[in-house]
Amino acid sequence: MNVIETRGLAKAYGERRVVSDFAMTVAAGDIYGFVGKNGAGKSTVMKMICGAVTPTAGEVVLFGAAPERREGRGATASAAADQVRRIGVLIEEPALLPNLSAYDNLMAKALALGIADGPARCEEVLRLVGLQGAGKRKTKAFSLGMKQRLGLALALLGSPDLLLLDEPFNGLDPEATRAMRNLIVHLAETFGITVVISSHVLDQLDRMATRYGVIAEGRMVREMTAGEVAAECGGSLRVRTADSPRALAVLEEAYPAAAFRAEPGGTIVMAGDFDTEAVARTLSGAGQVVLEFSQDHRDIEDYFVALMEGGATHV
Amino acid sequence: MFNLLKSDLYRLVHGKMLWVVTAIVVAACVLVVAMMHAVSSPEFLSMTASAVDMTVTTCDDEGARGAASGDEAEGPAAAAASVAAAAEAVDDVAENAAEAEEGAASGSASAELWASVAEDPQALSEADFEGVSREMRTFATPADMLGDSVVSGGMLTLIVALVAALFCAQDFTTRFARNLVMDRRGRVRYYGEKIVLVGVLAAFFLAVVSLTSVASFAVAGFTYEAANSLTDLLAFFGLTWLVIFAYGCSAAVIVWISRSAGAGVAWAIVVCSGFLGAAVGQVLLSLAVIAPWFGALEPWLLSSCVQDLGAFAGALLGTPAAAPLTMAPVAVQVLIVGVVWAAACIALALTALRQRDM
Repeated sequence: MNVIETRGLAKAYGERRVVSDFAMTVAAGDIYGFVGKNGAGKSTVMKMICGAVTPTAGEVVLFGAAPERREGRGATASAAADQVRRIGVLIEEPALLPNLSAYDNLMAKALALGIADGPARCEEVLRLVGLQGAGKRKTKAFSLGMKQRLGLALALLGSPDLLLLDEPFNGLDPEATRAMRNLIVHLAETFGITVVISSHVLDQLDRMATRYGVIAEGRMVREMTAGEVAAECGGSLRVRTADSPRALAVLEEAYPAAAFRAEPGGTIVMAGDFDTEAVARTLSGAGQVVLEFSQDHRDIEDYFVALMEGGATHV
Repeated sequence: MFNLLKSDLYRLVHGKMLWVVTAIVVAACVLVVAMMHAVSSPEFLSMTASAVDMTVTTCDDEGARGAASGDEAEGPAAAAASVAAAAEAVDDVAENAAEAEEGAASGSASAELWASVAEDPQALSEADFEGVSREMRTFATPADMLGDSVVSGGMLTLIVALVAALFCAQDFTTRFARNLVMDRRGRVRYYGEKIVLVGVLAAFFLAVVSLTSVASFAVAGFTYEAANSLTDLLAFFGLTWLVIFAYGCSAAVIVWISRSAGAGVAWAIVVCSGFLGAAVGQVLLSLAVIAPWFGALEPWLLSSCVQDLGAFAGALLGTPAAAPLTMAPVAVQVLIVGVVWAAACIALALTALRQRDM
């Protein structure tokens, strides 16, 4: 089942179009890495998904139900409240009341959501994010990292099925970043929560995302699985032989699923799923004199930057 | 909506703002009572009468002296100034006495006191001042006491509007509203709940001010000539609540439109205190010279309703309303104005504002 599906989503502020014809699909259980440059429209898309921003056009289908069904006459107030509880949000920065304690912030939201055993649930999420000792402290005295963790606790309070996290690693030191990443993975694996996470820290996304979506200038450039990204980033092989045309023909015949590109100077770039040693044996078996044989690992950052700047066609 | 209200009440109870403002309101009420107790004491009245007597005597003497020696010492201009000063002081007392004579006809003890001061200050006894003090410490009814001491000044409307503005703005300045994840229908619930909360705040502060004032005046020895009927009390509290609520809603709407605490606070201070309303009222009354219908608009301002609540607190059902509703009591006029203001604010919040992104 798709947890999120957007169709023709658009948002304009006056003449300025922030998001255009945006299509996104997030399946249940995904940790969806949402990648884009500053101002590309990530936060706006996330706000449209959670309902904080009303789309100019298009629709957001959550948990398989279209908005008109969620908001229509047939929908009861409790169903709408249940919908709110199914989504946990941490967008841009933690939304905290500075003059209240961490516990009181959580209780205020727990009461608003109508959570039955509010106090116990608040204690539970405080423990989950590692703030059990800081519940009574006013949040204005919190460090940025503690605020981020409390923001995540607020998002988790309603036991959501979907978490929308916008730049959750902002302001975190390396240790706190790792703790936050592990927590997100733990939540997804243990509770089956679907997570959409936008971040500029691509190596962190690389360690946890199962799917990716790349947004550029308000449009979805490309959606792909983590496997596809790994294949496109890490699997290329550079080969140069004394007889390049012959070597290309041999390899194309032996590895029909792989992608080949011939570069000036006779170098063949081979991408896809293959065993490097087997390729070497194939060339040797065909009597090819190998002049160059090297693996080319493409940096994930370069890969996404290319996608964000030039779109899919230039990759 | 009930869950949102519970959440907001939790925030108010566990935060500082409500208690700080409540403490200020209680202190202000006690201070008002203390000042009224002080100025109505026989000692203060005696002191004031003596001061007036001395002023009259001194001005008379100095005026005469100045007139006599003016030609020699300081010239005619100085002499004329001295005579003018003396005459002015005598005029002030005479003015008070003239007003007092009018009052004396209606049997007011304080009016009689002023008349006596003008005629023969030395003839006043301690018993006279005690009589005036007793009269000053007697309100017509409890509703009149509340209307006079806490409603007509605009303190209640200002306080409720300030708290409503600051609390509503907090949701946007801290972005806490985003935790509640709202689609359009959710926003209707959100704004609806906040409007209910303004009503709760209006009732809370009206109760705090009323109880504090009643208790403080009782402790200070103030009494009432008569008790209000239940209908009069209900009319007074109901309409006062309505007007406070309408002002509070207007402050909340300003915050929702501007998303700024500053704009809400400015609105509360300038508009909800009655300051702007009083100014507009004066302008309308001035323009009535050109076109009389301008003057007819003045009683229909919300600030004028606050003044009416203060002036006719105990007789809202017995005092006629302004034109063209002269056949109806002033309570109906206040009801109409309050309902129109509140309804306009509620309609704006639940229709146009719900379209706005959170």
